[in-house]
Amino acid sequence: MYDGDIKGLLVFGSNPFVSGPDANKETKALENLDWMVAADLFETETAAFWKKEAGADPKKIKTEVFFLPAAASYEKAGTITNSGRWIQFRWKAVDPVGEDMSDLEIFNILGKKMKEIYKDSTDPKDKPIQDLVWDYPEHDEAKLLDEVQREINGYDLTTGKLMAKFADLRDDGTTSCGVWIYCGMYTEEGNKTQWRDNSDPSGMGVYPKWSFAWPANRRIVYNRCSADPAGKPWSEDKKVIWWEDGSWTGIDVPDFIVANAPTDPDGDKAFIMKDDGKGGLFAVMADGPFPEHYEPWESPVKNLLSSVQFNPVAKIWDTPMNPQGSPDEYPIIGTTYRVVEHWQAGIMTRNCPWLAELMPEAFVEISKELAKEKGINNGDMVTIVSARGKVKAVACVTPRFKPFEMNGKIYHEIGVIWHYGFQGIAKGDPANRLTPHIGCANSHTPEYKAFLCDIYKGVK
Amino acid sequence: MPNKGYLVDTSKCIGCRGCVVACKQWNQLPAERTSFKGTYQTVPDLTANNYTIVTFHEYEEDGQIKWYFTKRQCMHCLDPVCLKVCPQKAISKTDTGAVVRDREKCVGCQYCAAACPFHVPRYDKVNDKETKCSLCPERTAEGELPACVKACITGALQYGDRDQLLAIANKRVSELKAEYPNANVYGDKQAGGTNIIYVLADKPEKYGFEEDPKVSIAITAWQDIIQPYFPWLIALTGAVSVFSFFSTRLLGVGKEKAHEGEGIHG
Repeated sequence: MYDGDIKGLLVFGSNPFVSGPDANKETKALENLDWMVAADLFETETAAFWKKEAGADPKKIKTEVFFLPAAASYEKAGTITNSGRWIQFRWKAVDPVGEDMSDLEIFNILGKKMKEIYKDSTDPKDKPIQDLVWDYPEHDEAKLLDEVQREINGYDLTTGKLMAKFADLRDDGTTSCGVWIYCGMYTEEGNKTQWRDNSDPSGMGVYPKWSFAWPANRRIVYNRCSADPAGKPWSEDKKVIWWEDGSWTGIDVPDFIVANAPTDPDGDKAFIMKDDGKGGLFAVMADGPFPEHYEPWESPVKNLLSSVQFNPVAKIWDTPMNPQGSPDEYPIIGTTYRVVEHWQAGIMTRNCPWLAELMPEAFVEISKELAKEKGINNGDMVTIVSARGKVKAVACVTPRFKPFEMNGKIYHEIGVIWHYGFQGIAKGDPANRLTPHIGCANSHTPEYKAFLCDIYKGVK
Repeated sequence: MPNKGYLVDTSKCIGCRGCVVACKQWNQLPAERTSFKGTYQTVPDLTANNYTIVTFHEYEEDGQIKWYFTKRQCMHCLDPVCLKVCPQKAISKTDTGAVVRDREKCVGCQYCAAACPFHVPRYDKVNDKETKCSLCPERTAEGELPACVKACITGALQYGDRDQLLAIANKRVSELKAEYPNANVYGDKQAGGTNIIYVLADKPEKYGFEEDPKVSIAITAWQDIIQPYFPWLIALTGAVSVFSFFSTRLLGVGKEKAHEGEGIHG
């Protein structure tokens, strides 16, 4: 986007103006867009990036921005999936305010418009859009959601019946399925994401009829591991699946081929998703398998634990506006974090008066020692500067921060609260203007938590 | 009915202030404009729009950092002074010992605020009324928990019978003693005992509490000596006023006496 290759942006429930690393660059990139469609509960900083308060010159920005008011989670039905793999249906509590719509409805309208625009095109690249089946109902949110859930589960294209389990899916064009791991969540028996039976027959906290757990309503993955190779439970207190009287039995959906007896050649293979059926300490990843300490991209010290200073496989975007600071110029270690009163990029919570009352503005935590060195008093407005940008914040001088002594030298650390932006009730500069645009080798998660900076009293 | 209240176990409090927001939501209290002044305690004290606050106390002792959080609100005294001094009889106790005020009867005279040993009631200028926590009697009467207790995610707040809460508090303090030698129960005897019981990990003063909160002597005199004889005292003060008027005007003495008379009269 920064290079001008991407012309349009749909930004739903996301606020990179505040949350993106090297936020100045992310904001600059938005200026290259022809159009942006933003949907959120309140106008985000990202949707208002072109305004004077954002530090931009509106006259110079040609981006056309459409802001769509989105329904909050209480104003729409849908599902959430938790880290325990439960897909739980949630019913709508109240009707949306004003013209608010659920994301699903917004996408439905966008999809229909798109089909209409491309229907007479002869350009072969538009063929996928023309071939796309998009026959969802209009103006009926509950029906739309139901259809989409059925489609995600999948159905038999001949009989029209919903698929019972992913093992029945075929690659010969006779069945369809949106997401195979979710197959089984909505069968001819009904919508299992709406299951709300909180009984726990085994007493082990399994709750087999509370919502649906992907895949196959299996509550504990790799549950073959609960029994030894001969099929005997490792622990009588924690037995999940075991071999008894010539067959497998237990309290959960087995996660292995049940046709295999423990004595069969593959009868002790507990990891169904691995080709060899065995657990592994090693995995194919860009980084690993052994842990090693590397210093952050910006660090004031030499790596004492390895001859290699910085992770050689980390992703560094070698682009403009992502300079690396040196410890001579930026001697202080910076980190960013959250407060409980605000959620992520803050557009929901910074607009909530009761939460804004509790955490009204951006602040930075610094040690008493650094405060003394820099002549900063508790409650002073200060400026923090990194190679990429600068922000102002209120100083919170606290004994909870302490200087580090490393290699016989004293190093200071500061912590900046990052939720803030110029919109809403609780306001402040986005701390991510300080952070670098580099990523973890495996996941590309940005290195938000360590960078070099400097701090001084006042704003200039 | 037994006395009911809640336990504030500060050793389990994480300072999230969920209780504060729940209180404001239930009582529909508007937010106030605040600023960050170098402490997480952005609401410095109780206000007419904040019946409860969480206070933050940071200490560094022997190289150890201590960050104590506690909750402040009406303590719901067993023998509430505010109830005694209220000239309108606007304050009463529910059958479970919650100290509540009748908004209609309150005339905003602020006697209760002056009398409170814990400095709790706040004057709502807009409506000319005194305000404070009521222990959510409309919720508890329906078998619901007080809003703050309901919102507490760590179990630092527990609602129940005062006797049981005291037993829990004493047990908890004995557990904490090993790590926190100054741990103590607060509210068991302060101001004659309160329905809000605290487990404090350190001395009360470390949490901004007075070890032994006292009712001012003037108030004690008011509640125990003057108010019981209120009907004829009015006549007496009236007489004193008349006397002082003459004595001041005619004799040029007794100025101070006259002022005392007015002070008591209010």
